[in-house]
Amino acid sequence: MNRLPRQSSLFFVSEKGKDLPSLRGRRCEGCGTVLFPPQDYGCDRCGGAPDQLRPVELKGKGMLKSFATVHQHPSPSVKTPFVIGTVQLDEGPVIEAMVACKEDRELSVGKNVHAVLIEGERDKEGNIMVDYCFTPAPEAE
Amino acid sequence: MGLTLSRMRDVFVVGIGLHRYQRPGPTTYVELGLTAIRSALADAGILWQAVESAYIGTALLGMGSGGSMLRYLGATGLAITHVENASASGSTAFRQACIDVASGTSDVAIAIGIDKAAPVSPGSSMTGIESLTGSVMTPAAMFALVAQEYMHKHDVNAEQIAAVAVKNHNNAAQNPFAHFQKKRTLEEVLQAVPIAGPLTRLQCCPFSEGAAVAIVGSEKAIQDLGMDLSRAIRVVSSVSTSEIIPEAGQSAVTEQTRQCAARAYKEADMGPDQMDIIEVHDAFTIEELMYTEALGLCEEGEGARLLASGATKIGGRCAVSPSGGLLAMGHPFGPTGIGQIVEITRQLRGEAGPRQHPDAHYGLAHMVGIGPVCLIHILQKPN
Repeated sequence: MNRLPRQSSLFFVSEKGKDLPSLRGRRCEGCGTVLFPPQDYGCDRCGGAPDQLRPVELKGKGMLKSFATVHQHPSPSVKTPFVIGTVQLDEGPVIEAMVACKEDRELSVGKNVHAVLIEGERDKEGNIMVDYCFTPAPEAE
Repeated sequence: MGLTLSRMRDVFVVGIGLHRYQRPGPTTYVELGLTAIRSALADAGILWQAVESAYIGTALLGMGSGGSMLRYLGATGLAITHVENASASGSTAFRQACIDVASGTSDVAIAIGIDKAAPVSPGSSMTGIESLTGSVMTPAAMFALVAQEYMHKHDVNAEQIAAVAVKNHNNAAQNPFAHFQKKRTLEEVLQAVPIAGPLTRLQCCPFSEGAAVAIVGSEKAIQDLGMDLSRAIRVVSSVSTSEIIPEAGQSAVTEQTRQCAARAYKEADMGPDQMDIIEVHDAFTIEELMYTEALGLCEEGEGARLLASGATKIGGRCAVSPSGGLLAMGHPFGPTGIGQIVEITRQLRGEAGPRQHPDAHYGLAHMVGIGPVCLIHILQKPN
């Protein structure tokens, strides 16, 4: 039985020697912008050609810019409520991601968050689907 | 930059018509469309044969829907073009009709917005690029995130945002073409089913079906066809924009509107203080607050205070969403942008009945769509 990333182009489920699961991004050599998600179409900041986009690893740390509990979803296979957030990664990109927390009262705009892998349902072959989420980082001592 | 509408031939809205926006049901798109078209032709006092080009704004009807409907008005061989720009399909169809007349390509053009509820399959889902939230994100969830950030940045609470729905449902209660025609108290809005973040069901637009039509014509057409010049409303500005990269700290959502509005005001040689009527893309309550700021009615962060002051009610300084907006009049994708033009035209003609805003001379229609695209039109009652 394997653990599989729900989005295999975006992250790995087992990385050695890392404190936090990383995200896969791109860095544009033309303008220096760090991009997420990774793609090979071109830089959406400067229009740079795909061969200017280099793979980079994003460390999975950032700041919570916003969050919301979603209570209703049109698809019956999506369980509610769940929490989503906008995270400004340390490397620059602002991304939307799931937030793992007991209740949204734990969260506040500006809180430091870090990545965590959360196991979800099994697929037809019995593999466990894994989601890349963010959770409040422990307060600094 | 090429010619703007204001530097080409004058364009007038000469006829308007609607099929009520309503819950999805068995009415065919042909019936929705023909109802609105015949109403607009009667309003203009012209025959179908006078119309030289038709732009059909629809996001969901499917390939080539127009001909199968327009033939029942009597086939004339006119130019038919379907226009898709997500929620802004109708606004874009209207813009194209205006450009036809302004450029002299047509003397009379029609913009027809029609949509029935159907599964939405956005192009963005077919790029091959994965997303951490792709399977769970919804428009309501996205705007809940926007609302949370706004509330934190500007110290605004959930009640202040919900007040937009109270005003717009009150307006729609007096609009026989609106999907919802029921006044709502603030308590009802807050107690409605929670959807995402601070947004309850009454703070999210419904999925509607309906049709909206605007006929535009040149001064020559008005004279030649014996139309009523005193009821013709001039289109003084039309601007269409797409995605921009905001500066750090700016919201992409509002910056796009702000830049589009700046161009529209410049083209019309006017400012926000001169607007009497504004119809905005209020798919979610938070949007109306943010767009009234971006359109220049007040400073950034002051939208809730502006609303609470009564300035944006019918009879206030500038009536915002007098039709009831997307929230309460409804949001069938294709018709919505044209429905805004219909409402503004009624207001500027002084024919809005119980929804009439006094002394309305200038109106602005603001629409956004997935892309994102943003279109703004400014209409003027000629002296």
